[in-house]
Amino acid sequence: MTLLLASAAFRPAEEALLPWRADVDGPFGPREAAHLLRRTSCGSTLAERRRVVELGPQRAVAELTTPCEPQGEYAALLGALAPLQGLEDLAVCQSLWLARLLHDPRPFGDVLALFWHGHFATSVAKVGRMQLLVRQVEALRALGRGPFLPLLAAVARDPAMIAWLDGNGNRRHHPNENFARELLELFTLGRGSYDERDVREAARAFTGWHERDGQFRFVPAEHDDGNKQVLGSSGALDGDDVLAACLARPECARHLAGRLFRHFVHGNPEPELLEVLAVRYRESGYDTLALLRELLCSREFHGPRARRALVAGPVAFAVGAARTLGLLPDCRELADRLAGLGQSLYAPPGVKGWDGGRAWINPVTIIGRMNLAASFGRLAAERPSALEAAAGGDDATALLGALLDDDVPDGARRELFALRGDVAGLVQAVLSLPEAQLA
Amino acid sequence: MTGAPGLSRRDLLISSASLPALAALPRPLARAAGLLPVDPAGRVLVVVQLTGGNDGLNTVVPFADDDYHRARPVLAVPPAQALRLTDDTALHPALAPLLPLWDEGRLAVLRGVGPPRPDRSHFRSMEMWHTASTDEPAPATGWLGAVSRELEGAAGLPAVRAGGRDLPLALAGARTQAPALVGLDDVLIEAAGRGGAAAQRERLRCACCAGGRAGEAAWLADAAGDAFDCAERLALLRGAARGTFPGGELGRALELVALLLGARVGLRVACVTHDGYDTHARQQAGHAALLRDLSAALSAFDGQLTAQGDRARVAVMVFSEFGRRVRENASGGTDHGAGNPLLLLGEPVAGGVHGAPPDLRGDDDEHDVPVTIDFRRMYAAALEWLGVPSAAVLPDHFAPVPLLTG
Repeated sequence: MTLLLASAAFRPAEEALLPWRADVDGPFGPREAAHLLRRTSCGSTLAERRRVVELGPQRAVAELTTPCEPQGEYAALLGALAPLQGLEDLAVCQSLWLARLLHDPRPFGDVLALFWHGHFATSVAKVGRMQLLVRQVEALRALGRGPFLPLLAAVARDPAMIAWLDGNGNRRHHPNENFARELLELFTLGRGSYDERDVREAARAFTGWHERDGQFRFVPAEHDDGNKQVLGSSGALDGDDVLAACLARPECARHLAGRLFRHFVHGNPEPELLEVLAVRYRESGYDTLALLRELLCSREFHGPRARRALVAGPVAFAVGAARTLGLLPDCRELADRLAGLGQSLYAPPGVKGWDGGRAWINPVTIIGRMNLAASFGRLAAERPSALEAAAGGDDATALLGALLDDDVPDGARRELFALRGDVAGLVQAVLSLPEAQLA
Repeated sequence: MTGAPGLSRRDLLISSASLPALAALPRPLARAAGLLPVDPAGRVLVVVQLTGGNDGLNTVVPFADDDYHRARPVLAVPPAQALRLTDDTALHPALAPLLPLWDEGRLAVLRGVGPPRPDRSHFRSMEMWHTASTDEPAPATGWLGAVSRELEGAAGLPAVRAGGRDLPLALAGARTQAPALVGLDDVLIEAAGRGGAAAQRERLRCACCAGGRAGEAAWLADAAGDAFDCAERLALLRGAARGTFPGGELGRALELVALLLGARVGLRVACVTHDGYDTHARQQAGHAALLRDLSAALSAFDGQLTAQGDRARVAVMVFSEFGRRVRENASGGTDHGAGNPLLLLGEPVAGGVHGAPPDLRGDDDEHDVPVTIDFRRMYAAALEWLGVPSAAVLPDHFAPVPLLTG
């Protein structure tokens, strides 16, 4: 009887989104903490896992997703790096972003900025001016947690985006549809939710949204203020009207909620669950942080379907390993290696961003990850006290616990235990395991 | 046709230990020595992808068509500069290095190729080309992955993506993950620790490939096994002879393909890409530079294949996800379009211009080059030539275009 009532009150999709309650739904121990920290922070130290267990899922999610002003060592590091900020050098700028991800005590803002960088993928390869890319990512960092509309409006005026999708060629009598098409297809609605006419008319609405000397500039003489019809809205629409029209569509919430879910939870969401999520997202005014907090607290997130279900991207793999082991890698060298593994920050392969998932993996990237693991192994062996402090030990038991929740098959475990006393070899081996590639 | 039956992977690795010397040997000598681990005559398809939507009308130029010149007051290739192939068709002047192939009947142009319902999205169009399917959502596996699945089993490294580190969707779905290689250093496994490199590598292999895994971890363990096999095989090629190739993404990629072909590792399908064809603005100089790179690399590849005696077994297919609109835009560029010519190069190719000339009549900005030949008819021809049953790869029956004969 009670069971029947419960299922009448909540559909399965809604149940999956209920907060995970420790000891009712299952335990919330170091493994659960490590899972949460892999998704919010790429990895975790022993102390961070202990704190999360102590807080419990709800309070931990709130804390991990709340930014804090840089202080102490991290503030000092940012200060020391500040003079490098303005350089027009891809490798330097990549290193600086990696330094933030590696050393920010609460890197969720950058983890989310990296998600948006893949969503609004813009590459220095075409834009050419590095600082425009850096400013774009600063905007993603500043606005990424907030409601989606201000973020989207900033992206639509972002000088790097305008250069990337030919905004300056979008003129009153000669609309260029590049931005409008990607806005509808990739940034908001997804394919199948608009037609070619929507693309053409949307392009007209953004005519005159230009970039001059690295700044957004609205050029009234190049703006087509005539009547347009986009996604059912009509009138003398301008760019902001089109953005609003996109967000008014339920497909927009579905598309974005689906992307966030697949990135932060797992790759096979039930359609009903996405629908519930999409409705909530839209009704909240596209409050991204609220959506993510709900997801990160949910039964679906803490249940078996999400655990180790995602192939970690190169940046998440490397940053996670370094944070978990207390390593201080050379960020320039790391940026190079990550490019070899298929993820070059500020230079995604195209406007669709990185495909992610299994597409990260092929024989060459597997070998590249093993080689990165070798360099991390040597670093770990050089600073035994840091390893001890971060991971709680330097033997196979400690490393398997810290990096892999001790969840590996016996055959692999035997090989690792044979490396007793060889920290570098052991770290390389643990980080090379299939399990270590999963977030 | 893919090698001696009954040999295991391990046997082949052992027998291919003599490869570095072999790669440098003239082919008949190597054959006489009985050292070849795989069928030396295995036919090879090299797929060159022009990423971004190549402007086919300015690549294979309908120079005698007034509509072409009317639609492109700025961008039209002047008839005096166009390299005439026939009475109505010419090549862009930057493709001059391909003329010797044309003269020898080793260059074919197939006009009006594309999917039956073209799409102006890069991604959607690429997806159709890569999966050979027009279903939505598209399958997660590619047509060349299916080819590779049909070809492997006996030996070697049937498929490779050369010149980049991303694995294209076209190659997804093979039983053995194809490597995405930029150079041979990409597959050198470093070893950390005190146990010695060989021992550490063996340990890594045992730990990664140990049984008892499920889900994504099991999939990754299989992929790791492929990676170790691939590393062992390619480690043997260091120091093998190479030809002279132009620099740049495509030149380096084709150099690597030629090296793998010469080394007889069982390669049957190679994917390379050439980026930058999304020419929405100021197209003229940029497009010419792209075509110069393209023709220089293809011509060098042809020269190297001739030198190493592989010319008769290799066909090169050059495609792009879509063509561009007939009319140029106001930014001195062209926007996403539909039908496009496909280029085929190599000795097995029936040289000439094939397919109907593009219908360029129509005066609106939206006018497209129509698709008159389903791209899968070309795939069907390639499959037949490779000896792979079409039914295992294509979603339906497609009449092969008769362009691969050799």
